Amino acid sequence: MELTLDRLSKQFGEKIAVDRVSATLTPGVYGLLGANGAGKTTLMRMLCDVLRPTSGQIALNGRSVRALGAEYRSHLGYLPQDFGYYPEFTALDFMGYMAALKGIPASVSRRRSLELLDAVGLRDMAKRRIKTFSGGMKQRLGIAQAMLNQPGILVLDEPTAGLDPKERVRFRNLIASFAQDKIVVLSTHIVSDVESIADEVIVMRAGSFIMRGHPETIVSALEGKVWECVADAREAAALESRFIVANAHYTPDGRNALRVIADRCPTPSATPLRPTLEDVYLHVFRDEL
Amino acid sequence: MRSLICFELKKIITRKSTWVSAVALYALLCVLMAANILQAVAYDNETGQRYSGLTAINYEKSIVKPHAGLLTPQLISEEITGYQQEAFATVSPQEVVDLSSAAAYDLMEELLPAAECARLQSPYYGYLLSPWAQNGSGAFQTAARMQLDGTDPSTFYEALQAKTLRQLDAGLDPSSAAPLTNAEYDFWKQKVEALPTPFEYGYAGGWQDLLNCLSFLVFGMLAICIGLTPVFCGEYAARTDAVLLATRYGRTRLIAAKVAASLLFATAYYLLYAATIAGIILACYGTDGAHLPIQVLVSTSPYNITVSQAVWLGMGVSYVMTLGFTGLTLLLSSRLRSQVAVFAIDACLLLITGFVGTSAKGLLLKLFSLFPINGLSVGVLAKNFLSYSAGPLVLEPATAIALTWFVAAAASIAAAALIFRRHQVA
Repeated sequence: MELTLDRLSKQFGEKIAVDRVSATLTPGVYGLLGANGAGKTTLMRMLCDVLRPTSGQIALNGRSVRALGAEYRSHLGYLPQDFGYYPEFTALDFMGYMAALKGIPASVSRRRSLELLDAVGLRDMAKRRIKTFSGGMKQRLGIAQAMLNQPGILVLDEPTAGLDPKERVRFRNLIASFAQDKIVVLSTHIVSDVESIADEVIVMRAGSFIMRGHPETIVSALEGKVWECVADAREAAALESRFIVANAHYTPDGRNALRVIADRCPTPSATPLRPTLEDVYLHVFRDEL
Repeated sequence: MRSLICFELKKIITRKSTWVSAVALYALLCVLMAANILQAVAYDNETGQRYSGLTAINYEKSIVKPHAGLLTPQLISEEITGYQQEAFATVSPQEVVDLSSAAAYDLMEELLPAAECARLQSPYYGYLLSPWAQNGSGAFQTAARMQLDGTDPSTFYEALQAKTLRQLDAGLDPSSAAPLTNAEYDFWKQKVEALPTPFEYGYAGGWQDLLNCLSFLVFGMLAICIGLTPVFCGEYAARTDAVLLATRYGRTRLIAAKVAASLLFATAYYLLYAATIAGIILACYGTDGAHLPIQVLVSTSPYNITVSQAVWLGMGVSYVMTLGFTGLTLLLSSRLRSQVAVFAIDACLLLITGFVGTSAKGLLLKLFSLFPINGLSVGVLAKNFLSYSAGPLVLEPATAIALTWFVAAAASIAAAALIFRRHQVA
C-alpha cells in the first residue's frame, strides 16, 4: 500500500493552509508535528477525503482517491480532532452505527466492537450512554471507531488529547500492535508520544513539510546543541533572553538548572545533553514561541 | 441499510428538541380536538334549550336524519310547497318578503306553534331553499319570494346550477380575488354542468367537522419540521460530519438512510396526528353520511365527490405537503449551519403564509393557497373556483398543491443529498 501526496495544496481565501506538499507514505507510523495553524488538520482532512484540495492530488497505489471514492474510504480509519458524538447513543450503538457506515457485516460488527471497546478500556461501559462519558472516555471511543474496519490507512488527529498518562501508554501499545503493514498518520502536541510511536516524523510549518525523517535522525541533527547550564537567577534570566530554554528546574542548592538549546556552548560551565524530539520542536519553532 | 435507517431514526427520536416538540404539539392537538367537540352547540328551537358537546351533536343528528334520502325534484317540490303552506297559513308572503332575517324569524315564532316553527327552522329547509336565497335572506323570506314570483320549486337543480354558474361568472371579472382565464372558466363550467343529480341528503356532521379541522395538521407538520431540522446541520454543529463522511458509505448509504428515516418519522407522526384528528371527530360525530355528495355540505361545490372522499383527498394532499416540508427541511438543514435558521424558515412558510394568505389577491392568493393553512381549508379544497393553469392545462387546487409539494419534496431531497455529499469539512 502506497499513499502518494502530489503537490497537495489547500487555500482558504488568501490563507494558504497547505502549500504544495508532496510525500509518499508506505506502511509505518508517521507523526505530524507542528504549531497550531501549521496545516496538520487540513492535511489530515484532505487525506481522509473530507476536504477537497485546491490543487494537487492524493493517490492510493497510483490511483486518485477522488476517483476511488468509497473504495478509498473503505481503507480509511479517521479520528478527527474534537469531533462530536451522539449523546443518547450507547458506546455499542455508536460502534454499531460506525460499523454500518463502514460496511462491516452485522454478524461481525458486534464482536469487533466489543473487542475494540475492550482494547481501549471501555468494555464495561459498552451499554452506557455517551453523554455520561468523560472527555478521555469519548476520545478512547473515537480511537476504537477509527479502527473498526481494520483500516489500511489510519489517520488520527490529536488522538492523545484528553488521555491521562496510563491511557496514553495503552494507546501507544494499541497503535504499535495495529500498525504492522498499515499507514498510520497521527498528529499530537505531545511530542513524546510521537517520539515513542512514530517511525517517521514530519514537521510542518506554514503548510509545508520542513523536516522529515526517523525520530533518531531528526534528533541527531541537534546533537551538540543542547546544554545544561547551572546558573543563579540573574544569569538564568540572561540565558532565557538569549537562547531557547527547553526546561528549567532548581538544583538542591537553590540554583537554576536550565536546558538550553544553542548552536554554541552558551556558558563555559555548560555540559552537553542528549537532544530529544521536544528540543527539535522547540528549535524549529523558536520564532513562534 | 436497515440498521443505518434504525440508527438515523434513533438519532431523530432521541433528540430532546424532537420529542419535546412532538409531545407538546400532540398535546396541543388533543386540547384543540377536545375544545372542538366541547364547543359544538345546537339550539332546540321548540324548547329554546341550548345543547353543547356530544348532546348538541346528537341533537343535530336527530333533526337531520328524518329528512335523509334522495332529493328528487318531486320530493323537493312537495317539501317546499308544504313549507310554504305551513309558513304562510296565517301570514301573507308579502308581509314577510322584505323583512330582515331576524324580524322574519321573530314573526314566524309569533305566528306559529313552537313545534311547527322549530320544524320549519330545520337546516333541511334552509338547504332546499338555498338555490333561491338572495343576499343572505333566510328560508322564510326565500319561500315567500318564491311563492310571490311563482317559482317552480321542482327546478331545484337548475336553480342551484344557475347560482353556481353566477359565482363562476364573477370570476371573469378582472377585479375578483382570483380572476379566471377562459380555459379555467371552461374547466369549471364543465365540472359544474357534469355534476350528477339528484343529490342524497343526510347527516354528515363528522365529515364536515373533519374537513374543517384539516388545518390542524399544520401543527403536526411543525413538529415534524422541528424533529428533522438537525438531520444534516446537526452533524455539522456536532462536528460529526468529518467522521461520517470519511467512511465508506458516508456519502451514499448514509444520505439514503437519513432521507428514509426522515420520511419514516414524518409519515409516522403524520399518521398519528391525522388518525387522532379523524379518530376523535368520527368517534364523537359518527361516520354517518360518508357516501353523501359534497354538495350536502357546500351546495355550490363544483366537485363530483362524496364528503368522505373530500376528507381523504384533503388528508392525501396534507400528506404530500408533509413530504414537501420534509424535503424542504432536509434541504435547508443540509445547506444552513444553524438549526434555528432552518426552523425559522419552516415556521414562516407554515404559519405566516396562512396569516397573510386570506387577504391576498390574484397570483399571491394562488401562491399562498398552495401552503398548508390555506390549502387545507374547505374553501380551497371543495368550494372556490381557484385553479392553476398553464395555457390549456388547468389544475384544480388539490392536484396543483399535491403536484407542487411532490415536486418540491423530490427536488429538495435530491438537492439535500447532493449538498451533503459534496460537503467539505473545513
